[in-house]
Amino acid sequence: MIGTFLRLFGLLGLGFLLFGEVPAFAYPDMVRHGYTNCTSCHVSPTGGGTLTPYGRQLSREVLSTWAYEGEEKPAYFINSPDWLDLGGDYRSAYYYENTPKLEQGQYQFMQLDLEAAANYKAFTFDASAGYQDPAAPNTARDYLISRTHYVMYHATDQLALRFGRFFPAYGIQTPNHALLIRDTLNIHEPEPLGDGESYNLEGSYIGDTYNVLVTGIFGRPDDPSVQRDIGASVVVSRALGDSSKVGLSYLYGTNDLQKRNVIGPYGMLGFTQHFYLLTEMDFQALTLKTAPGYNPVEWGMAETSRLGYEIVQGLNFIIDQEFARTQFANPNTLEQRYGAGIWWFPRPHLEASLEYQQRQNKGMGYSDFYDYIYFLWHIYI
Amino acid sequence: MKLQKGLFSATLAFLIAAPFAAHASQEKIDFDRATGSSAFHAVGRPSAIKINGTGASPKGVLTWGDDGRVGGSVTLDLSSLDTGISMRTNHMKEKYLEAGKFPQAKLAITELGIPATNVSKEFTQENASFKGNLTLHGVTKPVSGTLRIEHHAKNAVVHAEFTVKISDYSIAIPVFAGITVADEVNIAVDANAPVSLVAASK
Repeated sequence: MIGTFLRLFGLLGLGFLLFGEVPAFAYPDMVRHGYTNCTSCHVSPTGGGTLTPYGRQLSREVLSTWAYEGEEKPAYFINSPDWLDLGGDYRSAYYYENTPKLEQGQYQFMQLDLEAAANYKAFTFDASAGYQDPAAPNTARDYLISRTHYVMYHATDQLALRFGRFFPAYGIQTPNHALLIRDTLNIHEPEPLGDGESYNLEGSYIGDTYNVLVTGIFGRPDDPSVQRDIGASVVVSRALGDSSKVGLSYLYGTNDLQKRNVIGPYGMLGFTQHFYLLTEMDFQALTLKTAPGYNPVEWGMAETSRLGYEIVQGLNFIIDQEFARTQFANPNTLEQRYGAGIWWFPRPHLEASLEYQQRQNKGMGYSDFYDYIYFLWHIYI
Repeated sequence: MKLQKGLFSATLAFLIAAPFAAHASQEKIDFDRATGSSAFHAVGRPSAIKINGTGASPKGVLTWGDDGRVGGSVTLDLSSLDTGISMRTNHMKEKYLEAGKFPQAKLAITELGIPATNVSKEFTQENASFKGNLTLHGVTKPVSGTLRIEHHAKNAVVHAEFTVKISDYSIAIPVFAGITVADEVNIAVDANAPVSLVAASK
């Protein structure tokens, strides 16, 4: 069965090449080339979303296997004025799993957004608009979503203040919300899986060596039914040499159901221009507001590490390892993953990942490891 | 007769000794036959982008003698510079350094903070100072820096560092894809160069 799916994935990969699909978001592994700050390539201080002109140049010259001059332009051909940065993402995945209880393969639509950032003097106005696939739509409006929209004031080259809807700063910025450090701790979980981006006020200092991001989190006042964290986060990071960075993140959040403190270190280490390690470990103290006078605290943690080696420019061999136990007192909250695969940026605008994993998920009743394969493709315009 | 003999002996002794006494030991460090590289480091803002560029080994000859005198110069072929991003490299060389019009940077050394008594000896010295005049983009300005030298019998391993302000050299502050390069650029040179003793007149 696995062989059948591997052949299918091979065909998908071939189709991907022939029809030129693919990538975008924040790629923290770029730290190995000396880009220790997200704002090298992205408008957002926390990375992801609209690319800067410099980020587009890098996508052609450093990130991708092949490219022709000008291929990095928005949608391949748009010459946007200096004050306007354009972007957009389409992401989908196909996964196959063979658990002790079921064997299935499934296509997953993930994201289809357009985004633009307009710069006027010291201000940046950024907004996205896209399509989502709600489980139970009531009106046509339910298909539309603006995941991010914010205004940012650049007091200096290093200091900025941002208000609007976006993910609060925490840990390594990655679009892979399925990682255990994101999924099990419900951090940076997009709609409709999680509660999506919240409304925040963020102050950021992006220096040569140190970065400090402080975020006031105001939840989702636009949708009070969403139990989104209200609280604050702080991220302090330090560049180590020219191609590595370590940081410490803290998040406090509360809603009607719970309050929590999450803290953890992370590292983005570029050993060479081709060999890198991304790693993050977070500890959570979750207090449930179950009933007056009864507020049990659940201690837990999650960890994710990726060791990558760029075989040829744009083509990475990756080894992943993940561990989570969201309640130390409950052994059935244990999850583990070990995987290996490829992560490829064949041309500007295109990204694909194919990975085989062995997974264990006691919460789902899977004490034994089982097969899991995913193929993800991403087009960033 | 005795006086004449004495004068003759003294004159003879002077004539024999004079050529040696009038020459100091002088050493040549031959960068033309060196292996090495040059590098530069700049910061781009916003985002604190670290721009690490590379270049060829500098060429030329430096001399220094036990009389304390220092001379010679080294040049760097600007066409060899590479920032790792081809469009950025082309912008740097064509638009800012104007390498077609000013193809070389030249550093003439004027002072060397190494004891003159070390000429021709084997030694290692950290953080030795040097001063010189750098000609870049058609403009000559004094520069100073530090170097580390491992001096062996037949070669010297040198690592030198200095900082330049690009605005001092009538070079516009480079801007590329929204990134502005900071005015100060750090330059480092590594070379393993043959050394040889030469005679020099005082």
